[in-house]
Amino acid sequence: MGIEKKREAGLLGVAALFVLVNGVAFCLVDDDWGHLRPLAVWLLAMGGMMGVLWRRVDDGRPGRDPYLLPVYGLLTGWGVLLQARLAPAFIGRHTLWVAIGTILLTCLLLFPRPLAWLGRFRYSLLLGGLILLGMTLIFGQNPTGYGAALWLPVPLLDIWFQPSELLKLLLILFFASYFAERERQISYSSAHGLLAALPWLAPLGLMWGFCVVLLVWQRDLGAATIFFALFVSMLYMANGRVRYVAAGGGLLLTAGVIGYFAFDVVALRVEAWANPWPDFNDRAFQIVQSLYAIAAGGVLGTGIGQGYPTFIPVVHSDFVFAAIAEEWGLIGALTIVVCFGVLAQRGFRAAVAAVTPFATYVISGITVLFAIQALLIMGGVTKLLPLTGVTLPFVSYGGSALLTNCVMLGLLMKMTNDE
Amino acid sequence: MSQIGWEVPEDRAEQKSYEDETELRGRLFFLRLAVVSVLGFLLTYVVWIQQTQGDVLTDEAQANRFAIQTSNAARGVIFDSEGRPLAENIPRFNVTIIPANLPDDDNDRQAVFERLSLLTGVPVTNTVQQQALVEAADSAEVAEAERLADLYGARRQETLDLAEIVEDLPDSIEEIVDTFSFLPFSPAVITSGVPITLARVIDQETVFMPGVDVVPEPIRNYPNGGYTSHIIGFMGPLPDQSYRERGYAPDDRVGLFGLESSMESFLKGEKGQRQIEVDAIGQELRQVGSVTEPTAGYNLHLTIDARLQQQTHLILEDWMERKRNSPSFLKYPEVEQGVVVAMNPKNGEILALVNVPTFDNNRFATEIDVQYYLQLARNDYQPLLNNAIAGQYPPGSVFKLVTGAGALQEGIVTPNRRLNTPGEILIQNRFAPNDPGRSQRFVCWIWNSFFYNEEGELERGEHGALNMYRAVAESCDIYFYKVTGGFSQDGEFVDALDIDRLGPYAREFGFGDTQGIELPAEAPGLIPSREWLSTNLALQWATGDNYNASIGQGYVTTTPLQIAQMAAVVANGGFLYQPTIIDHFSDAENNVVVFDDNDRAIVAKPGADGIPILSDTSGNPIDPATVDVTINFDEEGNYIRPPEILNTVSVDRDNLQVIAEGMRQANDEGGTAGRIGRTIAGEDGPELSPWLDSYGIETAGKTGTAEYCDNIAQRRGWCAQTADQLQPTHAWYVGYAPYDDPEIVVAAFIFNGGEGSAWAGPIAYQVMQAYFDIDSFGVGEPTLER
Repeated sequence: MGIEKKREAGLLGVAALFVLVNGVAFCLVDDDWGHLRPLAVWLLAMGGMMGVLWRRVDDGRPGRDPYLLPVYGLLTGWGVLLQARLAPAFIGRHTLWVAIGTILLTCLLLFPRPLAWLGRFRYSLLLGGLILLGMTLIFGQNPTGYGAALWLPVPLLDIWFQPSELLKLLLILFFASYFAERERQISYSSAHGLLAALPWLAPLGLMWGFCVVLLVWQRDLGAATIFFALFVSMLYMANGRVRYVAAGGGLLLTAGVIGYFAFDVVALRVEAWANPWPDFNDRAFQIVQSLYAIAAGGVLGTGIGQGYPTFIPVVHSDFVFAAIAEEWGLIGALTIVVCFGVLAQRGFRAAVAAVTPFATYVISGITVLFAIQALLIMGGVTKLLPLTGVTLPFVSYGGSALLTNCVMLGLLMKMTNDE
Repeated sequence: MSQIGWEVPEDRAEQKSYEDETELRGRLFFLRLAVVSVLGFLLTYVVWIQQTQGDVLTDEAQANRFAIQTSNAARGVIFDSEGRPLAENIPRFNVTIIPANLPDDDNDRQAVFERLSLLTGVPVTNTVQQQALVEAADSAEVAEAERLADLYGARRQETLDLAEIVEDLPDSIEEIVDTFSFLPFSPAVITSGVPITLARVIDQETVFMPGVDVVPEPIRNYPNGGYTSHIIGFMGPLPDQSYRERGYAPDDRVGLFGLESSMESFLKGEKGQRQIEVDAIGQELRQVGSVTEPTAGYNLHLTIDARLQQQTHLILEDWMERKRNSPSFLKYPEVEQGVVVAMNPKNGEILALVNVPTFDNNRFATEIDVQYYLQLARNDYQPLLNNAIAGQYPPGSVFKLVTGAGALQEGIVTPNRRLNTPGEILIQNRFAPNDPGRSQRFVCWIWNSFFYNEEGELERGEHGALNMYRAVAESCDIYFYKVTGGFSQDGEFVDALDIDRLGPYAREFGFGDTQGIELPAEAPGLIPSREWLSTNLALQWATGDNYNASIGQGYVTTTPLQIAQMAAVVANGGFLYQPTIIDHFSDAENNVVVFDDNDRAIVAKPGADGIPILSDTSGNPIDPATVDVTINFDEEGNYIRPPEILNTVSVDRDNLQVIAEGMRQANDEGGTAGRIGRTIAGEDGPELSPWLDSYGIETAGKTGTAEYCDNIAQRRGWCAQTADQLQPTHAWYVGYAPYDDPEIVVAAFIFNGGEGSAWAGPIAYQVMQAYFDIDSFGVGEPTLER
């Protein structure tokens, strides 16, 4: 066993210990040992994955990053625990999604061949993504009967699928392939004046338009922001021009301002962000309750099961971070932030180490995506940013997001070593 | 070999040079820096929220520990002239639950619900029973109703209840708490109006039922209910958001109708405030900070006498019922609306203001009963309107008092000049003066009465030659046609008073404008003019219009209050007083409160030698010299309200005296109201003098029978279609007593009531009897005290 393997095993042990101790604590507080069942499933999935991975014969290729899987383990385990605490009704489904996600992740890591061929189908991927989007625009529904219609019912099974999650992955692959092939051309043209850069401004405008469509048709503020920020950062990687980032930021702000005046949803969110107190009993109820929860936590938190995070409506999906800040306090909140910091750091490191340009773009895109999502929702919950309906990767409830995130983490780890 | 990322494996260094070429490494580094610094910022921000903002937000979050408790001010009580309460405050107890203070443990919570359910009788849950009811019902009907409910986005349960398929069981405790769980710190009312004994039991047990609370709530009680509902009005929830800006809380109630509405700012008082600290289950621990005590609203002391008001109401209903039982009822078979106004002609104080149909304002005391409200609102005869001041009706012959006074003052006739008054007169057509077929016919009411003459032949009635006294007494239409429209036929010449001169006199008597009584929604009525007619209807004022206006028909409309005002002017010798229903205000200690021109409240107490002692609301003395209103008390310390004169009419006293004498003769044998005593006694009853003369009280009055054709009559097809047919009529009477020193004016009106002399006159007669406390006013002693 090499030093990396030992480090990985040790960290995973710490994560498992944390989750189990909290699980037992919760069972004691709630006087119901049934809460250990989903944790057992999680433990089994993690154990199974590590067992398979560690058993694998060392084929001489470089090993895994020893920090990513422990972070994955801690986040998903914490997520399962939180769902048991906050939304007992959804715990079965959530556990199932975690198990399936872990299996998908394992399969990707074990996939024997390089994944460079993904880049060859970039237009098919784009087309698939657009079709998905189109279907959502036309057939989209909301399982609760009201709110943004972002889901597609999956035939035969009683489940709902959120295409925008998969769309994120498809777009990353498309951009990566596109930029990897043309990066020199890009660097050249963007260095030679506006006219030569026009072919580059055009896609920028196109992408912006695409996001505005998302915003207009679906009122999905979060997805639109993520897609656009993702695109801008990947474009920056391709041509290295800060002015594109600046232009992108300007466009994002413009879209936000238009949204503010054109759509009540956006205006409400912005107003609730700027000053939630006048409307604390109504529209700003969620954010105010979230602030109360965070403040109530203190340094050490109230302890699992002993706070009142359920006063926050839909705490189990968008507002898990507030629940963590209340029941695990500042320590818990810092742990989550650090986890995503580590994820981002290791991701970028992997991007640098990647062999092919395609892999570099894919990995850095995925890393940026994780970082943006975590940032948007944590910032939203703490009233640093206007609230956007984004999930906290690996922790929040949501099957489509969880599966996509698992696949993306798998790709990130797998493609580092692809030739 | 097993490391990733730290270093590029040596054997692959050559292949990877593209990163350096394209500066990709640097850009990645930049991105990395960006992500790390943003995450770092987020980290600092979270620390800041918890450590710095923590205290502030913890205070906010623990708002349940410190609560501002506002205490409602006692609303002013409304008294009648004898000090009987007409609107008072009685407590009502509500049982509430604050969801956030309920126990967290499900079993404990259930125990609280079950105990509360046992005490209040509100079921803990009724999902099962509701389900059972739905299953018991016709499944096809249920499915259809549910489909429709879904289609229109309505609540299924409500729809089923409305469709009378499945009864919607009353809300259970769990349901109510569930509905309010989104506002966990707002009290959810479980049941309201529990008896005080139960309220005390629950209040004691709240220690063992965290979250449960008993909240006393004052509600308005109206001891006289429907008898005074048009005067007192009622209260209700805030009708719009503008009240929030004026300092009302969302669950406050405000006056919406009657005095409760128009006197809202005086009645409501000032809320008190205090900050309290509460424990985890919401029980008050102690008070912190300063306390503002609530200031009670001002009490109102009305000029209305509740006893007279109630008797008047019964008298009016009695005569409306008698009219319904009369043979003539069959032609226009509805008598649903009537008004009586009784006032003091010497100061404008309203003694009784009665409207039929009425409504029970106690049914609006806690919440608006929608079914009841709609039933009232849809009634053609408008029970929710104060028709005494808001109803605008043609006055008919009672208006002749104004015409007569004007004609005398303008010298059109002298009091004793006799005019020839046949049953009908013709106005020649201006363009065809010699074609009798095109002349306009104007008849006297008596022309339609038929008599057997000495030869036993049927003959139309007519008045013969009349002077002003008899014209008023016998209410001769032709006489007033002639003095208003002018007449020059058969050697008789009468100058025309004309609308140009009649109109201003009518306005002086109070017509055509609101009188400024302290009740909302007063109507002005209408006195037409040439300009009005050409502007509004694009018509030329013609002689016929003068004829109609002279007897209060045509375009003239008035309110019953204005009719009473007119008679008061005749009775008091020419003064139009501001009609009032409020004698004075008083504060919580029952001291008289007067408001000066700047709305400053002055507390007045009767002093030793007739000089009132004045102070402001905090008890600081006020120098009487700085007060610009007169404040007087009588010997017994009762406040004397200074009457306010709106206007002095420009008719000489002598001329008004002629009209008054005419009115006296009207109430005597041979006058239009000369048979009221007989009507009341019945044909077989005892011999009664025409009016109250046998009790030593001389009276004066005027009858009116006003033709109308308004929306109500048109919808029912009552309006005359041809010239030969008769229109439906309102019954009017206005009179005063005693004749030489008037104390009371009574105006009585019955919508579609037929002859004024037959149906409105007797009402005024009996109201005067009631006022002078003369026995046998026929309806028995009303029950005033509860």
